[in-house]
Amino acid sequence: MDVIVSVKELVKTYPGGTVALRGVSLKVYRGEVYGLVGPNGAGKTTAFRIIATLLKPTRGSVVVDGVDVVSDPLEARKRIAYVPEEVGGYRRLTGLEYIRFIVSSFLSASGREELVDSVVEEAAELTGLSMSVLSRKRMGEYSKGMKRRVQVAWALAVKPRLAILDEPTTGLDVEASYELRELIRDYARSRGVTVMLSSHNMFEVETVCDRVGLIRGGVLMEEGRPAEIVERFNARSLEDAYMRILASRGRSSPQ
Amino acid sequence: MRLLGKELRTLFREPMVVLTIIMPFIVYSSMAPFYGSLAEQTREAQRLEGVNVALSLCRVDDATRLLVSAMGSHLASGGVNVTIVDSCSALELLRKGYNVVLVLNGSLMPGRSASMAVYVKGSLGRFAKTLALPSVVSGHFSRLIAERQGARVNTTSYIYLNGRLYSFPELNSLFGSVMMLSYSSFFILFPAASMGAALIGAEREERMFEVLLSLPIRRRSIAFSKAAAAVIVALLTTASAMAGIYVVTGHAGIMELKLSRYYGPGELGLYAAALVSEALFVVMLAMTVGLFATTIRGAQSAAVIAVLPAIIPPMSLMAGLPLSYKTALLPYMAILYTGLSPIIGRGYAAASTAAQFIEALAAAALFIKVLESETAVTGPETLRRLLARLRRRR
Repeated sequence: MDVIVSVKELVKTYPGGTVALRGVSLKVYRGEVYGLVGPNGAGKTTAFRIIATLLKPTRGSVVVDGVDVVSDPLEARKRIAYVPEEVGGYRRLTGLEYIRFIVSSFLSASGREELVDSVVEEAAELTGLSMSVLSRKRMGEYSKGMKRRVQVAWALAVKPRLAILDEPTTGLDVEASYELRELIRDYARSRGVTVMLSSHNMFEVETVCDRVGLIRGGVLMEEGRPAEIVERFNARSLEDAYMRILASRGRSSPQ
Repeated sequence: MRLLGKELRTLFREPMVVLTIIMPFIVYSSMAPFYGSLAEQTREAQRLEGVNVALSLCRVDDATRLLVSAMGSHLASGGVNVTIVDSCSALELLRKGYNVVLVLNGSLMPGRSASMAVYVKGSLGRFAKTLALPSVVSGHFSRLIAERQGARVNTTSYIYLNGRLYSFPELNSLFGSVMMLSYSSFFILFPAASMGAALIGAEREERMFEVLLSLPIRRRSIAFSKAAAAVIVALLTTASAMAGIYVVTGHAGIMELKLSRYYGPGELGLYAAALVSEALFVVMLAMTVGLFATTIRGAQSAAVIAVLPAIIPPMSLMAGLPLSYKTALLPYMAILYTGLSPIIGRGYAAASTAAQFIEALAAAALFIKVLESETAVTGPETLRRLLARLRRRR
């Protein structure tokens, strides 16, 4: 299988001395949905920000689709669609204007400008919102769930080599979370888009992800298919396995 | 009371509110040295302090000559430096070192009439004094003449400035135009700072900055697109303010503004370039400052403080401008020097505008550098940490 993301010995220390990552290594394969699971402050967002070229690692390397994200960030960005944890959107733009801006920025950089119209159409469809809402309502009027759908929709529709979704369902109601999980799983699988997502929600990860990495205190504690991890720790669920891992390694954070 | 307490707490914890309260004090008190210099120069002019007056009596009768000599002696006894000369060429006398030349024509004898021309050697460095001197000098002599003889005297005033002779009304009108153009520095400053900061603050406030930075767009494209948008809005705001002032001053007859008389296409082109370069400089500074704020209003507050030194040039025009290339190369000077170009020539204006463009590009390079670094993502957090460390150290 092709390796799309290769993270080696990733260390990140923020100015002021906070260590967010302590030698994380992982690989994500083409077409895979990979979930990074862990509590707040585990290092998930820092890892994603480094992969998305927003932060520079203190040590270690990240290669996405053969491109080193530190030495050639612009080239790496052509391959990565990043949706951060905080749900945003340009208040004064309509959903459609927003999607068109992002999609055309993304595609024109990678020389796929002729696809803009069709990808915008596809992204609009993936949002599940009606065309009249997308073209008339400004994003300032959208609910958190609507904004999140718009974000995830463009990130998948541009068919990047890697879509990074940082806690995509956080703060959404049950229905919105369900719909978004379905969208990620179905679309990524059917179109072969590689996805890295993070979550606190073990159930979510278990149902959406092909493989998961359990991270805590900047250390990747376990990695594998959800079912394998459950079996490895003789647990009832991924959540149960996670708690057993914590118990076996001591609950206190390495920090 | 509880509600009032809550409202006041809410207001006082908003940086923009605090800034709104303290800004007038900062702005007006920073104007104090300029107003002080302005008042001092006016007082100097009234006392005719440090002024060498030449009384040119080449076209007067003997009786008038005697009379004026007596007046001269009277002024000299009051501490004014007065010399009676026979030369008729006022310009020659000014070039010889006299600050004021008073040329009298006709007769001051009762029932006769005379004309008095006051020539003042002007200085941009002492501009307030330059503008005050003609009326002070002509006032002194007219009063003396009226007291002693009652002859009718027509007075005209001229100012010799930078190798050119202006009639007083002409220079006054030109000065009005210079002031109006230099005030555009004010008009462009706050919209440019506010727009620049808002464009960055909005990215954070709308939680879009990380998405924008993760897109395959060059940082310099982000910087220049945002700057161009902010500059366009700032220019439109300035044009609107200038047009409004033009209408008000013209309609009310407060000031006779004859821009087209003093400014040719070359000067106006330089002026437009100076406006754009100042706006670009301010926008880039404001955007850099904005990277450390989490909200639009926070970014705007910080940006307004950062660009505050820009109020100095229009103020310094009133108090007196030290005319030099060193001054011309400082930020915020281009509009002022361009406004003055009918007096001082285009050289200073061109140098000042070119310098300001270079400064704007340096500010752009700084912004792009910060945008390329982690600080673009962690700016507010970095600032918070820095402030916390400073607080701990204290």
